[in-house]
Amino acid sequence: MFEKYMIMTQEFKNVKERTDVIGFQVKVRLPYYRGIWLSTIHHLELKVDDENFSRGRVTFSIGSRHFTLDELENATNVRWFFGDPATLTVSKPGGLSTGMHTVYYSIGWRHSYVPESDPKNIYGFPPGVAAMLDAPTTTIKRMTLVA
Amino acid sequence: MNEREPQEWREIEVITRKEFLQTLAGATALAALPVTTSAAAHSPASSERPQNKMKRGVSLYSYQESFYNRSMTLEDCIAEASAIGAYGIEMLAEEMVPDFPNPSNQWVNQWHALMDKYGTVADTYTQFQNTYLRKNRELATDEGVEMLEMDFKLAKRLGFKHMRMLIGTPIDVIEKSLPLAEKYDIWMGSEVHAPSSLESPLTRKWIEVIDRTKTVNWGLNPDFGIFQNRPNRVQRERMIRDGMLQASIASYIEAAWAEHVPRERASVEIAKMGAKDEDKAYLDTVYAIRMDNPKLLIELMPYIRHCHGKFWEMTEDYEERSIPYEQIIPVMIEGGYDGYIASEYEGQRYVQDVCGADDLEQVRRQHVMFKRLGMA
Repeated sequence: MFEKYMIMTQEFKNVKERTDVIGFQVKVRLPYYRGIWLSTIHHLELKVDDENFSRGRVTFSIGSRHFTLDELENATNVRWFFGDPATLTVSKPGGLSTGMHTVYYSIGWRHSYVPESDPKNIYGFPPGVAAMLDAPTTTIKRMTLVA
Repeated sequence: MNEREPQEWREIEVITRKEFLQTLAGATALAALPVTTSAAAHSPASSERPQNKMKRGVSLYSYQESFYNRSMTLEDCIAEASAIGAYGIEMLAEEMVPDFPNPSNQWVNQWHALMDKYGTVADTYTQFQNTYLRKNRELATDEGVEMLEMDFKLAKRLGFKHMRMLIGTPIDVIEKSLPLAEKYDIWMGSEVHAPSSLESPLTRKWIEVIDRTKTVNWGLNPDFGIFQNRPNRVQRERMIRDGMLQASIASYIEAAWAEHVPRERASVEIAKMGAKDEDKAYLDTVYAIRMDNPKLLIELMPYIRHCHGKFWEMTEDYEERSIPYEQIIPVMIEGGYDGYIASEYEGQRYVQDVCGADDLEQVRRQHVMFKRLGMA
């Protein structure tokens, strides 16, 4: 769901600290029908032109609140509002080159109201339903970075 | 493949869409029915319709794509609902309330002002019991009650009287929250949603606790997806476009299901056709379709104060392609239901890869169908 809206072109740019380009940012959305508590995010991966970035190089921001990917699981009281962008900032000295880039974004979160298992078959869900729902959604978008 | 006849509930008298239309003044006249109840009551067809107090509403979930891509604001969504006479508003607080669960007083005042401006009613608040909020452990019962109270408080601030409870909400949390529901004057409706059904062990368990506690703060919220009687075409087409399903195998599965071929045999057949795991998932999807008996709604009516008009695909002929509303709405009328039926459009996820947001048109078509079936 919402795959075509997940990676946003707006404000895809390199990030400077004083005069040095220290990395780049890309705005992303959650492909889900409600907002979530950040602690339910269990997977987040970003690649550009097949370059992987380790989790430690990615900062996740909602407005002025910043989190490392490892900090997300403890953010039980921070919301990501439905349809709002989060900003992913990636540490990459020199940033990305001017021109076309292929951005890969994958995110998985717990559908935290669905029982993860149903051993007594109380709810009648098929086996593995939570794992199926919680499987990451992945999308790829080609877009131009100017500066 | 050939168009398959839908599976119909055999224990009740089934009328086809065509026969149904023939009982009235004809589709053309129906399409021209005036909007107001009083005017409709004087239309030629009305004498053949039972009087009813059923009301039309919409879950703003239906407009999720337009809200998500910011082409519509919350006010736009409410204005549209009002414009089609769907005055009962259902909202997923976690979808549309900024700063959930503590919106500012200014926002809450604006919400009430919108209800006044558009003549709409805050009817049903959809709650999500986030039992699995934390990575390593689920919420204890008391923590669950605390979470639910947070939603009661917000629902109360926004003027909602009903709360839709999703299927996975622990029963002990609901039971322990009954005094709070009474305090905040909230009726909780546990959603009967496929693959559960009106006679499933879970639904029976809910009814058992409701009866035992004699509570007036808890009941059932049927989702009409339980009456699905044939495969969902938009879902199938999306799976094919995504490369998750082979068209020839989809056709075989649907035909086999319609002809009551045992599932095991169908599974063997598609294996011979070269089915992959994804194709097998479609076999599971189709074979899970089991239309519940709409007549069961009648004896359950005392438990029901809100219904979900689930749909995936309204055609230009104003029919839901895989949920036979012409078998459902008359039963609700017969049972004397006097609450809202809220549209819940869920087809956008299957078509948004090939078209822009179609949610407004789809909801409008469902409401023409509701009117044709005798709702005001």
